[in-house]
Amino acid sequence: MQETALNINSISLLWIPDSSKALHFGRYFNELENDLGISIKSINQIEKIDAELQRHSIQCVIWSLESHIDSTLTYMRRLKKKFPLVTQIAVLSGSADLQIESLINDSLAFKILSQEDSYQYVRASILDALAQFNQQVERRKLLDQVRDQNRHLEETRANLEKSVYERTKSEQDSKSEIEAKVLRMRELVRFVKDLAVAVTAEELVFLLRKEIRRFHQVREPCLSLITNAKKAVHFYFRGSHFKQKAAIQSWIDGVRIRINDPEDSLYLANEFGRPFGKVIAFPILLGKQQSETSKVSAILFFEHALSDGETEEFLNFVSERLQSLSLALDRILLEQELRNSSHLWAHTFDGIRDPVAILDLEYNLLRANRQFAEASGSHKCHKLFAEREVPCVGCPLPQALQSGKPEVGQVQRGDRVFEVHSYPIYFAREDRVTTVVNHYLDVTVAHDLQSRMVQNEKMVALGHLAGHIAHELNNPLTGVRALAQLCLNELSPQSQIYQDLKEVEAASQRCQSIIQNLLQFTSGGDKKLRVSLKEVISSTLPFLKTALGDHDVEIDFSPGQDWIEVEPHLLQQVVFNILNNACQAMPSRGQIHIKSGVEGKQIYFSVKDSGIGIAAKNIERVFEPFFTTKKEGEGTGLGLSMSRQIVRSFGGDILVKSAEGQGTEFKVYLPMGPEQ
Amino acid sequence: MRILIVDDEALVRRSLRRLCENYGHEVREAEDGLKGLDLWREYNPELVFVDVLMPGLTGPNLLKEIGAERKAKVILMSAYSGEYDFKKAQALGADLFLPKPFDDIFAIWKLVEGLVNGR
Repeated sequence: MQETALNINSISLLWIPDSSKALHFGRYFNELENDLGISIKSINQIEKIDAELQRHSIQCVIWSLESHIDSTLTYMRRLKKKFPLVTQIAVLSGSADLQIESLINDSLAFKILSQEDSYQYVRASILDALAQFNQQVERRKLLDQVRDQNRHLEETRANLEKSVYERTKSEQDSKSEIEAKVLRMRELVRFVKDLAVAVTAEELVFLLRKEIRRFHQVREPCLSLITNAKKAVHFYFRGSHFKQKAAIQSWIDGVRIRINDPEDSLYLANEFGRPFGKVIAFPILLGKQQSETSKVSAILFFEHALSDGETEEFLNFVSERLQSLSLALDRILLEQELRNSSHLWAHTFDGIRDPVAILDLEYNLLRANRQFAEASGSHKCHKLFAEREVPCVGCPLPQALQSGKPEVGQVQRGDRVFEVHSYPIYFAREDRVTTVVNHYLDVTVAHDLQSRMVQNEKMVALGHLAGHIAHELNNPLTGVRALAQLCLNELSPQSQIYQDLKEVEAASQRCQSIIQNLLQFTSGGDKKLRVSLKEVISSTLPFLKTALGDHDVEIDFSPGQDWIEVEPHLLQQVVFNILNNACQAMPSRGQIHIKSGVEGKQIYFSVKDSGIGIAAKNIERVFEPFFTTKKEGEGTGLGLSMSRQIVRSFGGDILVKSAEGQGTEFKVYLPMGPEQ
Repeated sequence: MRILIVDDEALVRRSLRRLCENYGHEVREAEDGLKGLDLWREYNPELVFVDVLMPGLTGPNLLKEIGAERKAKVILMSAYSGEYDFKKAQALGADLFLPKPFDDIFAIWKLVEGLVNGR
């Protein structure tokens, strides 16, 4: 039996008898009150129960179920509902079995007592009921506590969730902020990369306008570039066309970015002939200063209709890109200048009339201008220029390399003579020369002229010499001839001495002819004379008497006039040269056939020999100056080339026909001289 | 007739002497212009053969030197047939011009005779 601390001042129990019979149960109450220290109140009217329950902290209610059972039960149920903590005891009399079921089923009653129960039993039951009440109260308190705690926990959890959410959100915010920054960085990098491959101002402006496309309120950009002192050029797009326009006046100076300056709008309006709205101007400073008066070398103009907030964003955007723009523009301008110089140089190089080539130590071609012979295959100069497998004779390249100074040499290519100048080049890093610039001057004409002049001078000198020699020879000759004649006069023709002297006199006469011919041969003067070809040839023959003597000479002059207008001594040279060659071509006894005649409007003479002939590969070269198949020292190779020039200067030509081993024929054509 | 031959070539002098002596004339020789000048003054010839080109005094200079003193006929000879001719010889004071070498020595004599005899 448990004893609980009870509040003596309040009513703990409520007894609701429903009949007088029930009252019987109340016999125990006084004792109980004293025993348990509780107070029990009894009420007759069941309706007052609510008031009582509200006024006092009732712990237990004892119902009597004697009569009015249904209404009592109803009240019991109501009580349970309203005051669930209050313990309810039901006191039954015998006739209430059915209701017991109900009580048990609904568990309305904590305990069921009977009228007949003992005091001890009742007492115990009541104690239990009170204890039960306390328990319920405790439980309720606990429940409330738990509920509070739960709520508290819930609140805490909610707060936590909120703070987590907020932190996550702020993290996300900073993440998206960072992402936005990264994106901006990427865009900038891409822009700079695109700029790096731009090669023209057009590309640059194109990239720029693509870049600012997101700013719908900004119109086409205009790039103004100062070109020199006062001139400037505007670059801009109209639609999809790139345009370039010379500026009418130079623009406003100033290194600061100008926002919505009306001066800029006015300037652009003047330049483009239309009104301009607000303009933002970004001056660009280039590395290379274009003008002495201004540091600013270019300006980017943007006509726009941005709001103030948008303007700031735009300014930042463009400012971020300004430096890379300036660098790219610098580079483009420099590249353009380089290209121009390069073009200029290439044009200059190719514009030089003479062949020029840049060579290395081993005659390899590094660079050549257009005039230089172009042959595929070898890179060697001597192969390309002169078609030789080895360096040309006379090439000054090796001397230039050695001496480090310009050297000159003479080189032959085909029938042209070249004066080659080799200029050694020093590069900063090297201390010896490895590269040479060769300049090839075609001096064939000058050379030939010089040869002719030299020849002429030789002839003139020879002429003078001949004069003296002739005089020297003539004197004794005079004596010899005269004396011979005088002696002959005194001798009888039968005598031996007479015959001998006769020979002597004849010989001296021959000497006289030769000297006379020589004088004629070497007399100077450019006078063309009307002479007979036959005579010229005949007068030359004596000079070659010895050489011709070894061979059979057949002379076949056609009859009739053969006047030609030539310088006789020069033509004699030609005849001499051809005949001499013919003789030299025949190492053993051979035949020389000299023929003359008329062919159309020309007079010709030909010399045919039965000598060794000329190889096919050399026939073309036979008239080349310096070309000779003779050994060194045996002839200069000038004869035929000079002869042809002389004949050509008379309006004629020399032709050659030959085959190796079958002899050679030279045929000289000359225009017919005047009849008178 | 007294004949003077002024020429630096021995064979010329010899042959001319032979020729002149053949026709019975007296001949003196000089081998250069200076000697010739002296001999001319000393010998006083009536006919003088003078060569143009000689060492010392050339023919023309010799004639200039002798100037008015000479009373002889002068025959100028030259191996240089181009530069000198008859006209020039006359201008120098010669009476006859003979280009060397002589074709026919006897023909020459005919010319000389003609000159001397005033033909």
